[in-house]
Amino acid sequence: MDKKNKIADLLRNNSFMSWLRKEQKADNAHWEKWKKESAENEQLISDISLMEKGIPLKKQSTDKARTKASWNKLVNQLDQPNSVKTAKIQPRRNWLKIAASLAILTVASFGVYNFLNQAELIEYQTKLGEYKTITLPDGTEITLAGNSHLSFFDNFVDTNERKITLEGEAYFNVAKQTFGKQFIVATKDIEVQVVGTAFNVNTHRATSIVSLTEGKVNLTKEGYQNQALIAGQTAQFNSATNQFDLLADQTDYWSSWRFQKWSLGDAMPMKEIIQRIEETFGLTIHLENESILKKSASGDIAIDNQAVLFESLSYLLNVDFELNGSELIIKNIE
Amino acid sequence: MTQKDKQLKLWEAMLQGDLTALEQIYALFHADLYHYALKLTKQVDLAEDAVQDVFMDLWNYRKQLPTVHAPKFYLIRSVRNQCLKLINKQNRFTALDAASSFELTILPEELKIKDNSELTKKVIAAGMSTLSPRQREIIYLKFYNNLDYEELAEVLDINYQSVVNHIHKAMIKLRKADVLKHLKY
Repeated sequence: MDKKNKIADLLRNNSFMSWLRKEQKADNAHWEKWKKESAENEQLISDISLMEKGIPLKKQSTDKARTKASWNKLVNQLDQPNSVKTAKIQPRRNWLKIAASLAILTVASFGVYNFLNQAELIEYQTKLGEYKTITLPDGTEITLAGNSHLSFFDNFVDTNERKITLEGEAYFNVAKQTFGKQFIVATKDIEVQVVGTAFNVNTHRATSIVSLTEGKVNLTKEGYQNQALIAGQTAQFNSATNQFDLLADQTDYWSSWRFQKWSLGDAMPMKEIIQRIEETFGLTIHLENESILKKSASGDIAIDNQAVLFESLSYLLNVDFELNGSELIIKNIE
Repeated sequence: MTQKDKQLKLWEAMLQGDLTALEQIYALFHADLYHYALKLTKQVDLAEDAVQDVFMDLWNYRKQLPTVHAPKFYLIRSVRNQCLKLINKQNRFTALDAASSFELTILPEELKIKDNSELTKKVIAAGMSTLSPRQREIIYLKFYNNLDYEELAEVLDINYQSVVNHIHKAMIKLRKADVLKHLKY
């Protein structure tokens, strides 16, 4: 019997497993003795412990509203008489469309084909403070930040320019594209051309900011010179000089929100913090005194709870936050 | 009453035609089933359809169901089969190849890691890429959904010994690639 069979047998051996898991009823004496019998036994124990340990996967929290909406959709179908049959007629976008276009291809009526085959726009919108992870048909993973909107056509895999339109902010982990296909993120002012990579795009400001954590992208703006970006670089179009500015040491900062924190680095200027708060929480900020703008903060701060965030910022910056509806007033602490 | 007993009781009520029991089962398992379906199909619509189809069949054919010892395991197996069915249906009409459709990935972001540095994430991604797609699917099912070895064998339609071998090999590979020491247990 080889090692793998022995492991398989031991995994099924309740007495062994309860000893390994340190359960109370375990026959400790027997298995302690067995362990010492040979180096082979010790190796078996070590391998099974490794298998028991496994890998710690983050459990996605249940989105109750989503589940409820999905249940409502289901129950509507169940309530209909002969629900088995109606279920199959339920428009299933992909395959119905393909079947339709196929049928029409055989009739070879091109105009009708185009009409029926019109691509459908798929849209995602997040509320303030809400994140959403979206997996695209090509395997690309997108984390959409709060207060953001993402859209693309459902035939996007079949097009050579796989274009996604973003308003707000998102982090992209783009899947490797097959030869001849290009992945593009379009914002109101610029386009990011991608070659399999990971980056953050923010369009809340006057001009978009792109921050690259992996790979290589090309930034384009019609009528202006392109800017190639390599991992670790962040760029923003400067409408005064009409070219892309490289912003030093900001990549960590721009990718940190996905981990429910802001990595402020050594000295993040107050101006940036204010802008970040405004776009993240949809607040308008008033400063009681312009001198507050001279302050800066450093380090990592948690952003998953607005109240806690204001508390830590208040401590770091020595200011008071006063929330009044959607207005936030920042005051110096006397 | 343990979790499992409660689930079995709900299951029993559902079999008797209790719609609220079906709703509770849906609420309990929808998130995990959808998560798995999305991992398999990588398509939001298809994943949602697959889960809905499974529950529709569950309800419509509840009188003919085999005896189920663990609802979750039964649902996971059904979702997998339904995803396969939907993907194959789609592939009949498009040029997509079936193999790439089931490339289940495990991203560094999905794991509890000690530090979020790019270097760590690179090590983890590289380690994960040394596993075969099947190995990734098995460890995902084992450690995200807590299926036991016998259940995994049935879900994937392979024998018990193969499941053990896959998990054993996967964990040794991950340890060798230095992935484990970056994880937060």
